[in-house]
Amino acid sequence: MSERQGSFWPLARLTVVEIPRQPALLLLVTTLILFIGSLSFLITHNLGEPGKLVRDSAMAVMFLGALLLSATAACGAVSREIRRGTAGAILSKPISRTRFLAAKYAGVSVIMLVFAGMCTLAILLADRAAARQFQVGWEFLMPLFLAVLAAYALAGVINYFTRRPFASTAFWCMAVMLLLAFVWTLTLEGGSGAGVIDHGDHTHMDPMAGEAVPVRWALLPACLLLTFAALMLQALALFCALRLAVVPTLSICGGAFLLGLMSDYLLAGRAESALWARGLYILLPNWQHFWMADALTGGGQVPWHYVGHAAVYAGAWSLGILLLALGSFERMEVR
Amino acid sequence: MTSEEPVIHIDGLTKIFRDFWRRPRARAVDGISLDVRPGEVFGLLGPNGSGKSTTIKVLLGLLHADAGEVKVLGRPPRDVDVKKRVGYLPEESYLYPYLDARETLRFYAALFGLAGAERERRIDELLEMVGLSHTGRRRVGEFSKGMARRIGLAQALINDPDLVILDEPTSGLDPLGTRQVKDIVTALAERGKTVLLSSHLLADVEDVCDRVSILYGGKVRAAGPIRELLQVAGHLQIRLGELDDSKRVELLDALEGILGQRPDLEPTRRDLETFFLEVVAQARRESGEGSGTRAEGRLAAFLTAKDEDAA
Repeated sequence: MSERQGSFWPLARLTVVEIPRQPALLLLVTTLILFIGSLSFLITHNLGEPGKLVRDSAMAVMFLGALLLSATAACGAVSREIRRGTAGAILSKPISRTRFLAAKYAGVSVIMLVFAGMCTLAILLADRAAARQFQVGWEFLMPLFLAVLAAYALAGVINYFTRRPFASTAFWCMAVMLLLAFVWTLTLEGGSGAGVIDHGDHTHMDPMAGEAVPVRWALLPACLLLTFAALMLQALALFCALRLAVVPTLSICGGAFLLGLMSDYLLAGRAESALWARGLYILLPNWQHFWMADALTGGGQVPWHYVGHAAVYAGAWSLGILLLALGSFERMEVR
Repeated sequence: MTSEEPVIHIDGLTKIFRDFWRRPRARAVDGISLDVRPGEVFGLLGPNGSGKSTTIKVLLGLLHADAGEVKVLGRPPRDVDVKKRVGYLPEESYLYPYLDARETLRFYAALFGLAGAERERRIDELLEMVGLSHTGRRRVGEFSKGMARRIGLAQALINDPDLVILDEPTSGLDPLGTRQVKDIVTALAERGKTVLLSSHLLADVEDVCDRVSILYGGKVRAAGPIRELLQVAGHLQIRLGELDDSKRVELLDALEGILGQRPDLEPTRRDLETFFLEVVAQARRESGEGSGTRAEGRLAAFLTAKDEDAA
């Protein structure tokens, strides 16, 4: 391995190790996972299709969570290190700024991918739990909640015996436990509904009682699209974090999030006649390309070739932002 | 770069810090010029805010010069290849708090592409050198400031650098640690390394530096070999061994006859550092090692290897 190659991986690896050590990040991820799970019993409306509102809300939570996580992780990895002087100490070593930034993006992207994976598992479980009308599928929810609990307990034990940092250990344990919980629920068919649902003052029949509740695998491409969007947000957050602290970074990313959601409404009409609108329409990330919750209605699917196109769009947009970030970082003074 | 070329060449360096609107806010360095020669221990002296750290950060390519020419090892400071030959101890030891001492050194070694047995050997030797080999899995975030400085010094030497830049290396160290760092600096210079040392602790600089530049307000106010700078023109000092009372009186009488005035005679005094180190060494012999750092100020073996190979 050459020295130039050698400087990328240690920094990327250390970024992956360091970011989950922020207690705020663990708190954020835990809250989001538990919230996604809780949607199955918090939401009682179904918009004509059992589980649709839960599914849509859970995906929205994942999207919003990605926004919060991108700012938190990017600022932890970059702006805090620049402010503390750690970045200066590292840049005094034989590592170019391009490599530094690329390693940081790679590191925070790994954390974002793990987060997206955890959210996807939680969404699949929550969707299964909400699939039966008027009845919560606790057999799918309990493993989710127990996975979070077990992750905290295990992290506590590991911290006690090995002194490994609690926050990062709990983060990684949660990822593993959620995966185990999901795999375990694959053995369940979910068709053990009681048939008659008793609400105290009245009873009615559950039309899905006795029917199996399969995993809605169609959610996977939809969640993958959200993961691409999360990586785009991550690139933007990293760009901002080079010069800004967490609050302004979050504000800018939040602004891009809102404008990107509304860009079709705000700019699509004007883009044909006004050059400025066309430019802005192209530059703003169009999140509508990544929000495919409605495509899943009535058993619909998101075609994989569409996912491929979206990946190219997300990659090109992220690369553009990272090149801008690099241009800014090359001129930047690191005190 | 030839052996006669300066390791560090600064000519008319000016650095101005600006506000958000690019308006000048502070002229941190104002037309500094200096050369540091190979194998020299060069001191940058000055009070806080005199421009020492800014100069060092320009040398490391972290800050851009507004004017002037800066070369390190014959090349621009932002050249990545130059940085392979430079070791840097920052003013504060900016370490990752959750890593232990060994993991920290492993990380910095990896930035230089060091791996495997060679990396582990260097880490062992450096930890021994700075007296931290017994800290085990204790995280550097829990280290005292002195211990953090020691691990900072170790990371600065992990690549066996030709040029070592030390920004306030003894800040936060106890007198024992200070002595050890000074011994290491001296040993590095003896092995042909060039050392640039910035400090406002005058005694430290005086002990180890060959030449100094004294900065104030971003400008060089005095520069030269330390012996020459400290000479007081027209004053001489006589050092004598033990004298009994009668000889002392005879000497004073003779000097009075020559000088026309009776000079003062004072007993020779050790400096406080020497006295302190003697007391600690005595205490150590009596009660064994304490729980702090343990180091002798000897260089790590890999830092001396080239010398031995050449001999």
